[in-house]
Amino acid sequence: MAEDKKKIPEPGDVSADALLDGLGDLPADGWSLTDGGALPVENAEAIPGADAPETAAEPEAAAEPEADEPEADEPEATVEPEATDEPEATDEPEATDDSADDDSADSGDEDEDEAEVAASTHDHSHDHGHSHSHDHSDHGGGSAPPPRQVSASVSGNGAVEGMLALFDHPQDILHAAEKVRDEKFAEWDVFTPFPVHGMDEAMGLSRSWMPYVTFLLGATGLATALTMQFGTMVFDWPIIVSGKPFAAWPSFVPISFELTVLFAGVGTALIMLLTAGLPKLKPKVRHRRLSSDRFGIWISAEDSKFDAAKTRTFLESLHPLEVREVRGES
Amino acid sequence: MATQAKDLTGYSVYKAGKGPLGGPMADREPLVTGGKSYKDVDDLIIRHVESFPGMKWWLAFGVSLTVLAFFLTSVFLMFGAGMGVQGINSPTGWGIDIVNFVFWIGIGHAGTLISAILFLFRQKWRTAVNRSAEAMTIFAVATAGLFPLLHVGRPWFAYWLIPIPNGRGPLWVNFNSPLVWDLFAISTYGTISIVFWYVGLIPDVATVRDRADNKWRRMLYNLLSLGWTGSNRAWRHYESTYLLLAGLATPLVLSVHTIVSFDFATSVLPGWHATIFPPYFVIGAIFSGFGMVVTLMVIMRSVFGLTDIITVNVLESMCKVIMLTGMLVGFAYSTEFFMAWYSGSAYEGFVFQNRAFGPYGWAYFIMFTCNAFIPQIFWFKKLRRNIYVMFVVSIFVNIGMWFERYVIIVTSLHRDFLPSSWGMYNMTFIDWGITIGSFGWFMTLFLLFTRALPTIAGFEVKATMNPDVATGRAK
Repeated sequence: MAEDKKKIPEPGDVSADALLDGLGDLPADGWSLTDGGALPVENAEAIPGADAPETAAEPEAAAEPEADEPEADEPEATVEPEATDEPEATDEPEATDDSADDDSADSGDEDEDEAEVAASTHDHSHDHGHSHSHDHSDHGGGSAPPPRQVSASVSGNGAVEGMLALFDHPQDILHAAEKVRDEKFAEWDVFTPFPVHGMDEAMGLSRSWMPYVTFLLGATGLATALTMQFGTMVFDWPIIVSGKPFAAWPSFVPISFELTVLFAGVGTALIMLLTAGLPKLKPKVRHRRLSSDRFGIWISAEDSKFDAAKTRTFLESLHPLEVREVRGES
Repeated sequence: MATQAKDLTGYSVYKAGKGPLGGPMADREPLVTGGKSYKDVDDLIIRHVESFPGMKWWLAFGVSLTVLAFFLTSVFLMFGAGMGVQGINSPTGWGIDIVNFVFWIGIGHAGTLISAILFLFRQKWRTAVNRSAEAMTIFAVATAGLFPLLHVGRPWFAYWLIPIPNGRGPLWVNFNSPLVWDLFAISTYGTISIVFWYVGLIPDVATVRDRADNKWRRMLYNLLSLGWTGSNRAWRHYESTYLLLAGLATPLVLSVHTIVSFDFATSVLPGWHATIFPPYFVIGAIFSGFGMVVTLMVIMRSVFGLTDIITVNVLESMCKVIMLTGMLVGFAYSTEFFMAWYSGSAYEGFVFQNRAFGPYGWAYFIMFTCNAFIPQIFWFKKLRRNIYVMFVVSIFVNIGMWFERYVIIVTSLHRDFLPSSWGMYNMTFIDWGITIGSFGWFMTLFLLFTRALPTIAGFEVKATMNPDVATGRAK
């Protein structure tokens, strides 16, 4: 654990190989723009589904588990001296920002929204009080949220393996995926913490063929059950039980059903896991927050259309939070 | 807006002029309250995996282990001395082992019902409780599975139930026997429940892995998650598989207790030999399973601070299921009586008179009151949204459903056709030890689960959240 700590460039969200497993460390400021980074209004309009500036600093670090966090904060304190600010100092400007935005933003929104802002900032300060969280200080205290640029970064120092663009809203990545699909990339993928509805269409994937697998496995199970029951009761050693016929098919129904379900269920799950490429303990693309609250588009260098500069420009045009060039270890 | 847990009403929110044609629009209340972001949800549900368990957990674990020790002591005493230390006798040859077997299998029905049937019905509130309910199912089936082994008296011969090639001919099992059906039903149900549960766990275990700072911890959870990355090329098949598993598990849930009821219904004993048994058992199983889920969830949400996810709205939905299924079991009890009279069979008639007004009338009274009457207080919205009331009612449901199995088994057996072979059944110390002790086994497993794995299906919860709220865009 101790040696592990040393590798952590930034506590909490960014650490060690968590960023891109086995592909080298990331600059410590890798997240500074993306962590709750506020969205400028013009960008927000460009991104479908984002009808308003992102309220700065959602409680990212809210309710962090007590374990490990306090120690992890220490390196951060040197980078951001105001990390231990009074919670109120960082939160109150936000609240005013938000309400100001509220007035200017489109008026068609629910009237409860102001209440929501108040409530969430309240939450926020509460959590600050508990965990002295670290990653709000850079944007929380300012008057206006800094305009978002697409953060560019490089991890690793070997050959380029691909490009990863990170988003924070399921709608954003859905529309971004459609554009990547329309560019006719082949070796690419989308990483989401939960299945995003409509993503298969957005990626141009056909319907999963799993149902056919299930059907075949179920039929196998049924055949096994019937063979076993008729084979033993009728052919191998016929015995008269309570005067019933040897081939008493109604009493074979329950086991036939159960084995059908057993084969189909277990087999489908196993084949699904194999199809999904599991088990694969060292995946190429791994990011600590792709299983939590970030959505990533990955374009592999193996793709014939891949060109480091062009692909980066293309990905940046999708308005991600960040585009990261991923290099292998030299 | 960030609805707070205390603001939930259980009613839709009507907004005048927001509808597509200018009329009012009704919005359901959010499933996750408190304006949580995606990461907040992770923090909430993974916190108890990442931190050392608190005093409450250790206290509960200590009690569970003590009760488990009581169970093991009783079991070893029984195997040491022989089955004679149990209360079973002639005519009551099925005693506490079968009562507990049916009781625990019944408990195990809520998990898959919530995961599979409510998934097909698109009841999104299930995401708050499905993981724990599935775990509960697995542990309940694991508990139930012990009892046939105890019941056979010589568990080292239990493998005779399995149709494997053997040196006795080979002499095969009798596939006409409901006891063999039972073996297949229970083992299939247990296996499919574990598969369903594990498939659901994979993405959440990957989240635990990605949050881990410790190398060993990351390695362990990486192994458990099989290296899941959340690639949409995996999600595509994953979602399809989840739907298929739900479709397979739905008839499976209904089949399991149906087959358990065949153990009784295919006999010729009055009080057992009834065509109503399969639906009656299935409804009873769902009823008792939801009772146990409510008991566990009420405790869990307060111990782990999950009130923003397992909201009162979720618990209220479960209380509604309890109320409905409670009415249905009451209807089944009444139908049994009607059929006993309508059949014109003197034996049937006697068994039911004896059941309600005979020496075990007290058990019948407990059963009928706890199952058919007490849950009906959930007709009042205030009561079914009150945590304390629903906790007490769920305990009554557990008690009532245990007594239902006791009544069905003991009252039918102890006085059958010939008065000369009548007898009484009395539980011995060992019987009580096994019965109470089985809760220790169940709770020990459940507490270890809450310690090691996320108790809420995080990725499913996130998928039901409003993304604008969860990413902080809804101002």
